[in-house]
Amino acid sequence: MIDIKNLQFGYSKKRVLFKDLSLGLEAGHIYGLLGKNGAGKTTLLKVIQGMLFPTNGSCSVLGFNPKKREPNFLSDVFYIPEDIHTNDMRIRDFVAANAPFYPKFDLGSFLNYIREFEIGYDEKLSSLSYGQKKKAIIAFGLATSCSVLILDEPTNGLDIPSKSQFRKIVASVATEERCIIISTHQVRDLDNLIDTVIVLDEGVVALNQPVDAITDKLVFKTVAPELAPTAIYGESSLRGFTGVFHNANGEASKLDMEILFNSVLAQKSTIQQVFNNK
Amino acid sequence: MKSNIFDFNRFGLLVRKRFLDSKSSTIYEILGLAAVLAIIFGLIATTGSIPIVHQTGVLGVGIVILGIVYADRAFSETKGKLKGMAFLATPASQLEKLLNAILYTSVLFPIVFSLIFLAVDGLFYAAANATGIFSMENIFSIDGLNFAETIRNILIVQSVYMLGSIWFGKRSLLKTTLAVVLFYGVIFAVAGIIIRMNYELLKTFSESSNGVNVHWDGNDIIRGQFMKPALWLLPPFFWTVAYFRLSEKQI
Repeated sequence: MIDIKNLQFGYSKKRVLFKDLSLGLEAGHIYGLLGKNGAGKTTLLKVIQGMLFPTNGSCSVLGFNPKKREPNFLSDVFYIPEDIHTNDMRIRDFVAANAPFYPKFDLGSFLNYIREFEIGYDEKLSSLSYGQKKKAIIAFGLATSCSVLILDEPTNGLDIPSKSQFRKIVASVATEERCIIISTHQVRDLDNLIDTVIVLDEGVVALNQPVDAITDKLVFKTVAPELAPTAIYGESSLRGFTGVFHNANGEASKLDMEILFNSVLAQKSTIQQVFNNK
Repeated sequence: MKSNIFDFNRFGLLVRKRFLDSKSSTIYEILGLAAVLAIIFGLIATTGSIPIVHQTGVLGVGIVILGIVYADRAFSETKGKLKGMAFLATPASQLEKLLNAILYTSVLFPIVFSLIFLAVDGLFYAAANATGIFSMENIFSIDGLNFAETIRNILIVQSVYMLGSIWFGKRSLLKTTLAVVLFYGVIFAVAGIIIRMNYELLKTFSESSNGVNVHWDGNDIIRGQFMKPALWLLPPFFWTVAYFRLSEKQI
C-alpha cells in the first residue's frame, strides 16, 4: 500500500533528515510512528501525502506518486496534521464544502463521530475550542473512509474523555482495506490501539515490528533491582526496576511502548539483533 | 476513476468550496466596497457635479488597485503551513486549482466590482436626477474606450500578481511590485543603451528623411504595433509559470 525505497530528504544540503530510508506499510494495520523531536516523523508523513518531495529514492502510495498530488490519490489519502486550520464556518458548511471531494465519505458515520465527541453539526468552527475543532476534523477524516489515514499527534489537545473516545472510534474504523498511521509522542494514549510499531531514529527506521512479534521476542516487566543487569534496557521506579528483557521462556507480557521506545534509542543494535535473529 | 488532469464536476466543487470557505468575508467585502464607492461619489458630488471622467477614474483605479490586492490573494493559502496543506491536499488537480484562482481573480472579481460600481453609480445618477443638488453624466455615454485593450491590461496586471502570490512567500504584494518595477527598469535601461549605441545611425536616418516616421524614444520601440498581439500572450504565460510553481510547491 505504501512503499518507500531508499528515501533521501533534507531541508537543506547541511540538514539531511533521511539518508536511505526504506519502509513498507500494508492495509489492515494501525501503525504507530514514534521518534524523538526532530527525528522526521512529520516530514515522513508529509512525504507520504505529497506535501514534501524526496530528493532521492521513491515513495509510492496506493500505486500513485504522491509528488504529483493527483486528485484520485488525494481523495483516498487523508492527513490530519498536529495543528489544524479551519475557516470561519459551520460544521455543516465545512462538510458541504469538503465532503464531495471524497467519494467514500459517509455522512452517517460523521454524524455518529461528532455525536460521540459531543459536537453539534450546526456549531461554528470558530466558536469551538482547539480540542473540539481537532475532534471535528478527526471525525471528518475518519468519515472520508480513505484507504490511507494519517494522523499526526492526534491526541494533542484532547482532554482525557476525548482520548478514550478517539481510541474507540479509530479502532472501529480500522478495516482490512485501510492503513492507519499515527505519529505520536503520547505513546501511553495509543498503546492499546497500535498494532505495529515503527521507530525513526537518525534518519532511518530503527524498528518496524508488529506488537505480537515484539512481545514474542521481548518481555516487559518490573523486577527486583538485583535483576536489572539482565535487562536490555530499563528504568528504576518506586515499584522496582521496569525493563525490557529477552523473552527466552515465551513469557506473556503487555507491551510498554515507552520502555520499548527508550530501549530502541539506547540499545538500537541489540534490539535490532533480537528481531534479525529468526 | 475520474481524470487526474481536469474534471468538470470536480472543478465545480472547487469553485463551490472557495465560495463556501469565504462566504461570510465576501459578503462583508462587497458591502464595504459599496460603502467606500458611495463615500467617494459623495465627496465628488460635493463639488456640484460628477463628470464622467471622475466616474471612469474611480472605476479604472479601483479595478486595478483592488484587482492587484485580490490577485495577490489568489494563492494566499500557500503562504501559511496549515492553510497551505489544506489547500494542496484538496483533491483537485493543479490545473483545476489554477483555473479556480483565475476564475475568482480575473473573471469574477472584475465582474463583481463593475456590478457594485454600476449599482452605486446608478444610485447617485438617480439621486442627481431626482434632487438636482448635483449634476451627473451617464456612465454609459462614455466613448473612446477600447474594451478589448482594457480587458487585456487587467488580465496582464492580475496574472502578474497572481504569479507573485504563488512565487513569493510573505509580503508577495510588495515583492511583486518591486519585481515589476525592476523589470521595467531593466527594459528601459536596455532600450536606452540600444538607442544610445545607434544614436548616430538614427540621427543620420532622421536627417536624411526629414524625420518623417522616425521616432527613437524608448516608449515607441517597446509599444510598437508588433507588440500588441504579443501582449495577449502575457497572461497565459504568467498563468503557465504559476501552474508549474503550484505543482512544485512544498509545504
